[in-house]
Amino acid sequence: MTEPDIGERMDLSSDKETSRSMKRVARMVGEVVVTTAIMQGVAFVYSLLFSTRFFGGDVMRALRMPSYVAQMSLAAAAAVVVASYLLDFSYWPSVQAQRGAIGLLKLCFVVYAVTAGSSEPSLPIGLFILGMPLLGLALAKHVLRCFPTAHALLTLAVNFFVTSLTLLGSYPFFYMGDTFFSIDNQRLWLTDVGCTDVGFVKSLAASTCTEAAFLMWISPAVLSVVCLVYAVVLVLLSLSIKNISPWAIARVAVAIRKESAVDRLHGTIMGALTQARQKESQKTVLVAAKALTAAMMFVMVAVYVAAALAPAGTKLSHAVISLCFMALLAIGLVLVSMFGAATWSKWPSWRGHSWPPRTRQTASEGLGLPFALVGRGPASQTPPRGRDPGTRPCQTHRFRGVSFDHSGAEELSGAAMQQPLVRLTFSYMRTDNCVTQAVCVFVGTPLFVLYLALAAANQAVRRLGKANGWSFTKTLAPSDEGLALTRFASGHLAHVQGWPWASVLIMVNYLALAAWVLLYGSTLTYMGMAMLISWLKTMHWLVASLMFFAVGIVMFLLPPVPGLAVYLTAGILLTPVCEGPFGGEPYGFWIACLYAAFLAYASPRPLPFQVVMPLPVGAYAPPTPPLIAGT
Amino acid sequence: MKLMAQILQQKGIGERLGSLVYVRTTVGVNSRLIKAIRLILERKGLSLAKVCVLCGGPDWPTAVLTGILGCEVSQMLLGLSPIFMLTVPTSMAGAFQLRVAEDDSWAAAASMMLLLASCVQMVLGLLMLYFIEEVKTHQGEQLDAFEDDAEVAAQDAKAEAEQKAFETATALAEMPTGAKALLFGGTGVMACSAYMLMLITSECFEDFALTDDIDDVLCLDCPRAAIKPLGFVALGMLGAGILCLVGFNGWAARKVASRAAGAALL
Repeated sequence: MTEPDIGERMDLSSDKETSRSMKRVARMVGEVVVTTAIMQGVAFVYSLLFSTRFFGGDVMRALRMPSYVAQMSLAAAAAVVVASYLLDFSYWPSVQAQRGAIGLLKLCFVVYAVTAGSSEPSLPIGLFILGMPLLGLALAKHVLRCFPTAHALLTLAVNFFVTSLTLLGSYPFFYMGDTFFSIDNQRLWLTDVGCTDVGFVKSLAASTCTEAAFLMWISPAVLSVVCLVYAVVLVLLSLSIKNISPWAIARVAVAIRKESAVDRLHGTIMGALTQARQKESQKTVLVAAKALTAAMMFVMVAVYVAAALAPAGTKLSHAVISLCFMALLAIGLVLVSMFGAATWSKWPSWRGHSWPPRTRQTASEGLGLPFALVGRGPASQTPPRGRDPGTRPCQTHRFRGVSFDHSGAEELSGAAMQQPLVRLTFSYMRTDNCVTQAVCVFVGTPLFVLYLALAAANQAVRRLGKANGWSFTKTLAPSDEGLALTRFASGHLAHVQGWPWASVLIMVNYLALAAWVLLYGSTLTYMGMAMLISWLKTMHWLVASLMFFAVGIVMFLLPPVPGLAVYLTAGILLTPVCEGPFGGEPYGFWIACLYAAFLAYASPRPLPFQVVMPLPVGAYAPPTPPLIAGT
Repeated sequence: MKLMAQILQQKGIGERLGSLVYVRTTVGVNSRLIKAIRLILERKGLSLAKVCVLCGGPDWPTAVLTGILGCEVSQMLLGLSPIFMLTVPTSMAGAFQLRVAEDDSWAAAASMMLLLASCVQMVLGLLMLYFIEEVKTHQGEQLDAFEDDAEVAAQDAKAEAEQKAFETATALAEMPTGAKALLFGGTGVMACSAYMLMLITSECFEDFALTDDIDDVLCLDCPRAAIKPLGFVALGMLGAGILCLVGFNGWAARKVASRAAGAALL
């Protein structure tokens, strides 16, 4: 046998390298395929299970179980949460124990969501809304672990986008023809699945059974929108993630530690370049933050609009509000998961630095900082706090790339704070004004009392732990031993004690009154409108129009009456009254519709109300206050 | 109707209220928020921001605010003219709901119309918030150019002093037990009544939609009675809370007045 010459060895080496690259690419493609298959498969199975065309009836029959099962699951979930808090979950030395507790909690919630479907029909769909992003993150962590974080998130985003399109595209297939959401089809289907309450014949004010049917009917569209929102959020997160070379940091550190002015200048320039690079990437992040803000605001305003819809369809409003809150919760979980766990695991947090390290930090740490990074390896693959990383085949490969993923939390939050709506929200969230304090008291008192009670119990457990040498509870510092509550809760209580309580409580009273006016005042308005409708519908169309116009104007002059209720009344009242006089079938109805819409919008000039108050402007205008005089 | 209501709310309510310093102070005409709204509303023509504020804002407060700020009626009507995007689909939804029993497709059409109206309202509301904050952020100089209302500024200063006097007089450490009981007990009862309304509405009151028959609910012991037994409890608690609030406010006013008189004597 002859030894291969240098050329042959180079060829062999090149072939091996090519083969390794091919294998790596094939493995990554395989991972993407597996991820896609799992996500699309789950979405597809979910669509089948919760569609009236396929297995929706079977699912509905199966989920109609006694309510105590759901209540017990919820109680178990609450018990796990309370026990984890009391026993200092975050200080447990065993990761397996922590994961076990989280798994148990998830299990309890899943069982609750599934078994409570008969009383809260939006929960099973909510399970999908909450579960899909968590499934995506789990896939990113385990299946796509060899991908840079940004690419993994982008893969998930593409998957969510495809899921969104698939769900929307499948809508006609699922719900057209004999499964269309018509009254007859509903009645048949509900009777088939054993619902006795099938009295739903008009509007959207449905029973729980019909709400479930309605949710099944609308679920592909709702889930499509939700998946689209997730796709947007994940794209933004992936855009915010940056790769920063530790060697660049090392160069800056070394340069700054040198004595000569030239070297210091060099170090400063390097630092400035790093800053410039960050600014460049902030432009992208700014766009991302804008879209993220828009997505979050979209969901929140959807909640508001759903509440405004209440007079026309209480159940629909309720369902939309529940689903929107679940979507918000899921987005929050994704953000916390990304910015919390990722940042925590990617940076040697024992050093107390932010990531990326600033120039002064690199200067103070010198070479220690890049060495710490090198010792830690690509942090997204490294468990935090010195835990055993186990065998990670991608770790070496990732490290060769000498780049570290940075979650971009600071940049994203900084860019988000530049958004007008986010700043507006945060300005109202400051607790140094009476209204915010009152809102906190009004909304949070029951929870705060519970929190204080749990904090007292937690402190007692810590004392016990110290006395008995328990390793899983936090070791109390000598200064904390005399506290009745945990240090954290004591700080909160001290902060609250400084509030001007008389003013705050009076404001709480006004908030409660406002809740009454807005919530029950609206119901009384609708009752008044319904009385008006029943009274006017037998009158001549002209009289009915005049009377409705007069009453409508009066309603508009009352602060709590929403405009939508008046517009809706116009259609309900005037259309049947005017249909006959306007020509009957087939065109009379449409002319009456337009007439009602026009009357709700404006009025013809001859109506007497236009001259009710020909106000002499000077008589009623403010006495030219400086605000107005200033223009 | 909406346009007519705008005129009446603006001229009949807003401008009358605007002549009262107390109202202008309460509205906060010197605040940057209101100045930003004013800047948007006073622009001539049909701008998107103006349309969003007038059509996307809550009906009564927005219309009355235009009167308090002394805005031009014709310009407000111009800005409000796209409100047909809300009135038409909503009225149509009402009309369609009446025909649901005739044909299935009317139910879907009614739902679609309601959803369309909701989307329009949602987008306009969102844009309103955006434009107001955008003006506050990027057009600060123009906002600063608005002179402050001197009367309101004086009233603000007076109110601030009164608030300080109130907080001093009602400090918990100095408050007698009876007043504390009125304040804490009343607030507790009032808050509980609101919680009942918000959390267990269906146990207290019957849900009511515009298409429901009013005769079904206007009774005391029928299956769909508008107010259920727990509802009466909630209303009773509301009444008790209001009495406590009035009682505490009366005590606090006397306390503030007596402290002021004592200070004047000194």
